[in-house]
Parts: sequence; C-alpha cells; structure tokens
Amino acid sequence: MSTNQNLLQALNHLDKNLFFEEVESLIRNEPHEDIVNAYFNPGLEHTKERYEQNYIGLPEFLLSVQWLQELLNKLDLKNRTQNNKQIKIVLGVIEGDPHDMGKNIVKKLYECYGYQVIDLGKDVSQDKFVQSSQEHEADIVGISTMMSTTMEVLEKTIQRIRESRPECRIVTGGAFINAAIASNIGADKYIENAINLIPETEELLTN
Amino acid sequence: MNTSFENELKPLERVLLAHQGKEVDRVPVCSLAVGCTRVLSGVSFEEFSRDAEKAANSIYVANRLINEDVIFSFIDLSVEAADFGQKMVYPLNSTAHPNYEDLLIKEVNDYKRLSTPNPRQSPRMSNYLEMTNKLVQYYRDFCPVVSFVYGPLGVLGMMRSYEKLYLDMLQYPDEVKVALETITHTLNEYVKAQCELGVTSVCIDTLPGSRSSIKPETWEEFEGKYVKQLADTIRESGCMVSNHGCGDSPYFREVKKWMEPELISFADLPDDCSDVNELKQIYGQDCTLMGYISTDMLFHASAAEILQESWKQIDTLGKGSKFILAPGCEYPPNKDIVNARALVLASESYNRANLNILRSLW
Repeated sequence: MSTNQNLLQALNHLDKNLFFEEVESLIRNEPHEDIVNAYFNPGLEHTKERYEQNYIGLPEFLLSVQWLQELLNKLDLKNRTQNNKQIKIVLGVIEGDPHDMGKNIVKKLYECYGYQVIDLGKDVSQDKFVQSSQEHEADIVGISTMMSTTMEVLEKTIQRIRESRPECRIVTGGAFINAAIASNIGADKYIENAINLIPETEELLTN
Repeated sequence: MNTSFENELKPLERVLLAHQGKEVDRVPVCSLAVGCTRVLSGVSFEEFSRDAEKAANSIYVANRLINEDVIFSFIDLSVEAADFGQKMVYPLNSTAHPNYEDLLIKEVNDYKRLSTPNPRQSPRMSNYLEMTNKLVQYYRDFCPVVSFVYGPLGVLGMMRSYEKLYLDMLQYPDEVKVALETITHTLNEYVKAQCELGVTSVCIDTLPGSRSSIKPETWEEFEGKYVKQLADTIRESGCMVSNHGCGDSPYFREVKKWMEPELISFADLPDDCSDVNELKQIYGQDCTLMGYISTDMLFHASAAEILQESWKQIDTLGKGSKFILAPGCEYPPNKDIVNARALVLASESYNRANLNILRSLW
C-alpha cells in the first residue's frame, strides 16, 4: 500500500501507531510543502466525507482532525502560502454561554484549512468581540451560541461589530438559530455544521 | 380524536386514553415549560435550581395558566453532576451549568475516583425529589407527573466536558466505563426514589444517542447497557419508562432495544425514518410519540405561527399514532409562556366548531 493509503487506513481504523509512523516517515522523506497537498488535505477531506456519510461519529471526527492537526504542526513550512489563506477569523462563544465544543471544532477546521484564527474562548463579552475584531482587523467574526438565553446579547454584539468594523463579515452557528433568524439579527451567514463550514465560508468571502 | 365528548376529560384520563391508542376529546399537550416558569413567581434561576418549594410552586402556577396535560418535573441538567461534586455556576440570567474551568474529571485517572452520592440525601438530587414530591401531591389523580433523570453518559459529560469525554471514549474506554458504572449505581437509586413518590413515569434523557453526537453502536456500548438498568428499575417499581433525546436523527431503534420506553420525546425524526408516516408506522403504535415543535420556533415565532405549526403536527401525528403535542426540548427558559399556551390552544381549537374562527384568521 502507498503511504497515502496507509494514512487513510490509519484514520479509518483510528490506528494511532500506524498514523504517526507514516507521518514520521513522510517528514523524513518528503518535502514538507508537498505533504500538505498530497497527504494532509486528502486526509482532511476523507475524514469530512466519512463524517458526512455517517461512517464515523463526532468522537472519531474529533480525534482524526486532532491527529491531522498534529501532522500539520510537525511540518516545517517556511513558505506556508499553500495552505495559508491570510484570512483572519475572530472566533468565540457569546457571553453567557459556556458550551464551546462546536466552536473548538470550527477552530480546528479553519486552522487546518489555513485560516488564521484568533480564538476568544467562551462566555465572551460584547466589548471583547468588538475590540478584537478591530485590533486584529478581522475579515470574519464567528459567534457561536447553544442557548436561547443569549439571543438578545448576540443581536447587540452583531450590531456593535457591524458599526465598528463594517467591512467584516459575521457568521453565526449553534442552536436556536437558523439562516432566517441569523439574517434577522444582522449576521451575514448561518453555518449549520462542520461539513458546510469551509464551502460556505469561501462563498461568503467571494460575495 | 373525538369531538363528541360531552364533558372535557381530565388531563390524566386524556393522557392515559391517548397512550392506550383510544379516542380522546383532544390531543394531550405537554409544554415542557420549566425554567421559564420561575418568572411567574418572581424566582431567580438559582432559586429555581436549589429551592424545591419555589420551583414546584412556579411550575404549578405556570401549568394552571397554560392548562397543559402532562407535568414535566425538571429543573436543569446540572442536578446529578452537582451531587457527584462537580462545581456549578448559577448565572443570573441563565440555567445552571458546570464550571468548565474546574471540571471534576481533569484527567483520565479521575474516572475511577468518582464517589457515589446518596440521592436521597445529597443536596441537589434530594431537592429535586422534594420538588417532584410536591408536584405529585398537587396533581394527584388529576395530571400525570413525569420525573426526569439525565442518562449516565450525559452526567459524565457534565463532569469532563463532552469534547474530552468523546476523545476518552476512543482512547480510554475502560476508564470511562468505570465511571459510567459508578454513575449508574447512583442513578439507579435516584430513579427508585422518584418512583416511590408516585410519579406516572420516569424519563431518561439520552442526549448523546443521536447522529449529532456518536455512532449508534457507540451509544449502545457506552450508554445503552447502562440505561437498561435504570429502565428495568423503573418498570420493576411500577412506573412507565419514558425517553427524551433532542439531538438530530435520534436512535429510536437502539433506545427501544435497551430501554423499551412507552413514551419517546423527540426533536427530530429518528435516523431510520425518512418521514412522519414512517415514524408513525414503525414507532407510533407501540410508543406514545411526544413532540416535536421546534424550540427555535417557540423562541422566535409568534403565537399565531405556533398555532399553525401545532395544527399541522396534530394533522399528521395526531391521527394513526399515539401522540402528545410538545416542544422537541425544554421550552426556552427565558421566554414568556404565551407560546406554551398556544400549544394548548391549538389542541383545544383543533376540529372545534366554536373555535374554528382561529383557523380562519390566517
């Protein structure tokens, strides 16, 4: 089997030893820039497809993405233009909400796809969102919430970011929101799940 | 459904007849209005979580205003984990939740260090039992009271965080199972105590049992066999077993296999049903289906929209299956109760000539 097939097999079976043996071998023998396109990106797509098609659940998805991220971190990419999109995304869970699993998945995926993520964490105040979007000159602010109790503050936060940094796109995700509600409270986009995250973000950036 | 009943049925009669698949005067309703009820009696979220009398009175007042048929005795998802020692945060404007900066299970070795609280004496679970007891006393012979227990995997998620728990389930399954055994032991005593109060049913929440979380076989391995013990205890105690799972595409098949619930409360079609007709055929004959007005909608939509959506669901699920109209999950805890009342009004007005004007308004 080729290295790439071995890598995919390791992901399919969550075989940690095989995965990292292959990774070490790649790092020693292949130009690191090539590893991104030839191994990392296909591995990520493969994992997303298997999650989308229900071959794997959230635990397997989380672990696979974690390993792939470890692979990426091991590479010495002096010229990171291949995967580096130069797009800055400020991410956080809105004030009053401590649930950050969804936000963490989004962060990992954005990082894997070369976006620069500024992670504000959970229970993030309106002021912090506004300040960070200005300070980092964010292209996108992503705000997550899993609770209905945060709706009012979410809407206010979106308004304030809009006023202070009008060129920035604002995306929301989580529970108690859908595309229509996101639009009503002033967001540019509602992204429902990890599967749609990258294509919908790319679409948002081109519009 | 029959419009020829001379007198309205009592809620208990209505629910039991509907559960037996017999004719009723109207579809029973359970609003799942819990946290939101505190506003009606001027109680804070923290008082609602910790003071049995204030919580029971809030639920009672709200229920009388809403006029629903099933009392869902629930506080919040933090009750069980708090008594295992998980530190909780009691926010002013939201429901209690774990202090995620100080989780009880910080490392894999902590799974085996869990203690086994006695639910009849530990602060939050005993407070819940006291609240449920009050509700049973208030409603005896009038309205069924359904009590609640968070499933073992859910309780563990509150003490480890779901994200870390999911990774541990793959990497340290044996350690996770030790904790699940410990938790199940306590929850078994907890459901026994609930049954002793005289509740009609105990509802086991299996939140991770859906496509939004883990694979069905993983759910069976890490929760199915544990909730079976709870379901067996509930049945042996003479109560009905109910199930609630509000994830996307819940695993009814696996839930049935391990729990054999008589009632399933749901927010989305199960993963093996492509439409409502299939849901009715496969599950709506053996089980009473309880759902599934979206909580997003209850939060954002007008009462008129809730009426229309409810009529639509009564049209489809109210015929040819055993059905209770309800939200898919807890009624939004910081929303007023108008839309909860709209659920009941939808049932009251459905096929009633004197209320047909409602249906002609939109």
